[in-house]
Amino acid sequence: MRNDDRVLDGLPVDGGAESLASLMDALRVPGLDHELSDQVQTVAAFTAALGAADTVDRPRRGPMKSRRSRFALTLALSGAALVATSGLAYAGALPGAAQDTAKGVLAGLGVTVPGPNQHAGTHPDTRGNSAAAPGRAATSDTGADATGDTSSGKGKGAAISTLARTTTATGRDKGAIISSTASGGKSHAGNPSGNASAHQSTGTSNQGGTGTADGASGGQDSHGSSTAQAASGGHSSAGSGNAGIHPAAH
Amino acid sequence: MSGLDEFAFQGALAAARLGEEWAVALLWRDLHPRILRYLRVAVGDSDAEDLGSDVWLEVARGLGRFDGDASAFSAWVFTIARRRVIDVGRRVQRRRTDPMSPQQIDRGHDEAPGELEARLALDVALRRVARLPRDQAEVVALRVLAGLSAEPVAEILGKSAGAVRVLQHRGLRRLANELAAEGVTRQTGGAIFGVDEPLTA
Repeated sequence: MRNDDRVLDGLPVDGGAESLASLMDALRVPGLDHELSDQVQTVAAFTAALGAADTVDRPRRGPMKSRRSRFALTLALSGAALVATSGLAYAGALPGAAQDTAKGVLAGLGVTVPGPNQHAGTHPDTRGNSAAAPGRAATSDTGADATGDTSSGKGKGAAISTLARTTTATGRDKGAIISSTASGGKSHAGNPSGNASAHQSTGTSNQGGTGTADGASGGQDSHGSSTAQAASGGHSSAGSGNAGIHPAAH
Repeated sequence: MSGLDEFAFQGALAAARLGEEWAVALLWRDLHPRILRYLRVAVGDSDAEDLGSDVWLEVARGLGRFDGDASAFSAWVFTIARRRVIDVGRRVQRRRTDPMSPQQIDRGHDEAPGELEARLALDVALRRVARLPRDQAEVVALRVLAGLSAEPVAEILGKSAGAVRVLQHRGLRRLANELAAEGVTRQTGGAIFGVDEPLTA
């Protein structure tokens, strides 16, 4: 050990450092009376501060309680969510994939719930081309509303799509042809806006103008409407737009 | 350099946490004189006692969170003391009031001769250390009074252990040179004082 450390640690040192060692020993002398004269007051203040620190510490336990409360709340909410999900599964009201999962999980618990296709009737949720779904066109609400022809929705959509791709008309004319075809002649999209007032009087132009391109396909072939819109250079949207601005003509 | 062995310290610590005054008194009597001496070196006599009280109040507030042995307790309390010194240094310029000189000591005080001699020797030793450059004085005081090795002192001061060793070496060399220059070579009270007058009145 170096001499410095021996001096500082109060260990014996060689002759040259004796005076220095004595100086350090003087620093180490046990507590003297005058240094300890405040013992009574200091100890009393210390214990009082100790009690105050306990009091101050108590609120710090608050977060622990709060954490317990949060845990209980989380547990309760999780339980409620589980019950609600089970109820929906029992009613068969979950989305297909979720219903299927719930059926599997609850079956493991001995609870029987309907599968995703239980209420599907003639159109179970099967993978593949939507056109392959039996009876889909016949039961499509969209097709019925939009075209008024429940039997020709699919074919009409395809026809419109084909027309949009093959017609030699361009621009506004192309949009007008497609829109008119899709609406069965009800839409006059692409016509000068002055004609809109006539449609307004019929009370049919709005549905014809807006719903045709999409609705005519029965929702089965969006290509027809999107192509019609794109192929017309934006004029097809003018068709629906025309209808949309009809109220402004009042 | 604690007067308590580890077993006694742990017992006193546990009882002090429960508010047992005897245990608080045991810890205080063991450590307070050294804390007070460190503060006298660091800030001078005028502020040392007030700061010492502040240190113990802070110890009381943090005692529930302390976990360690006697050496760690000493390091913790001296760390608190040093923080208080820094706080004082921020408030006012450091007043390096010399510890009470031998001439200022009330020699008529009712003290046993041995007690008086130790007190005079202590005061002179503190004065010599306090005259060192601040960082050297702090290292020497902490090494001797806190009874800590270079590593924990380095931790308290926020320096490397190597830097602490350099500072302690410079401080000790400076003290040795002063003593040599004053012709102090003997291990006596008079030698430490560096004065010719007798120690007692």
